[in-house]
Amino acid sequence: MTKNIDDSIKINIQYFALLREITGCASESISVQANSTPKTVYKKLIKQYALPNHNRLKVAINDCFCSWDSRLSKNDKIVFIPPVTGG
Amino acid sequence: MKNFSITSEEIVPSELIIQLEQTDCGAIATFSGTVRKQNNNRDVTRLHYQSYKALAVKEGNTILNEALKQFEIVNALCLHRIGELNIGDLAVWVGVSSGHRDAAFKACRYIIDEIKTRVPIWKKEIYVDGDSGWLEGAG
Repeated sequence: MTKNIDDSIKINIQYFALLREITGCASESISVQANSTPKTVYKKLIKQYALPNHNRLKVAINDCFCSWDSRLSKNDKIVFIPPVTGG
Repeated sequence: MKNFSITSEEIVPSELIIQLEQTDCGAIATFSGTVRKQNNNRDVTRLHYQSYKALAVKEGNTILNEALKQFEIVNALCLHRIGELNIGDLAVWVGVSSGHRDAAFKACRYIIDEIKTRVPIWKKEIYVDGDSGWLEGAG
């Protein structure tokens, strides 16, 4: 018996500031592999958009700062955070 | 404690400072950050601030709570404006009350320094020559 395993999950990405300008959108939903991390998602996005290197960015999942190696879950909201310039 | 807020309206310090006034405080230190007309030798006409509001409010309140733990202060408030700002407009206001001035000055300095490096708010400068760009690091 074969089982149809769908190993992709849908996640929501929000863009701010320079990243919003580069991507031309405030948010988008994309499908990624179930074992994805912010790092693997960013690598995928960098093929599509001329985004800056991830080294200077921070990342948040569901409004909490997190590691680039965190495991993503279905419907997670992910935000890549360029160096902040408030004040 | 939720004392860090983001607004798209004009910041009015006199409305904020009354929230800090208490009879057991001998000192109130405040910081006002305003839009200046020049940056990196370029003439600025206005600024556009954008925030990741949910995380900005959370991180801003974390900073205020850190200040309340680290310094002998009674209260701390911060309001940051977003949207389109003109030269001279107030972009951020920090106020701290305490028994004595030393802790109020130190805490006020700590809060604005941390906000500028940790809170997800960004500014885009629009120049007199029509060019514009998002700034890339804490200024």
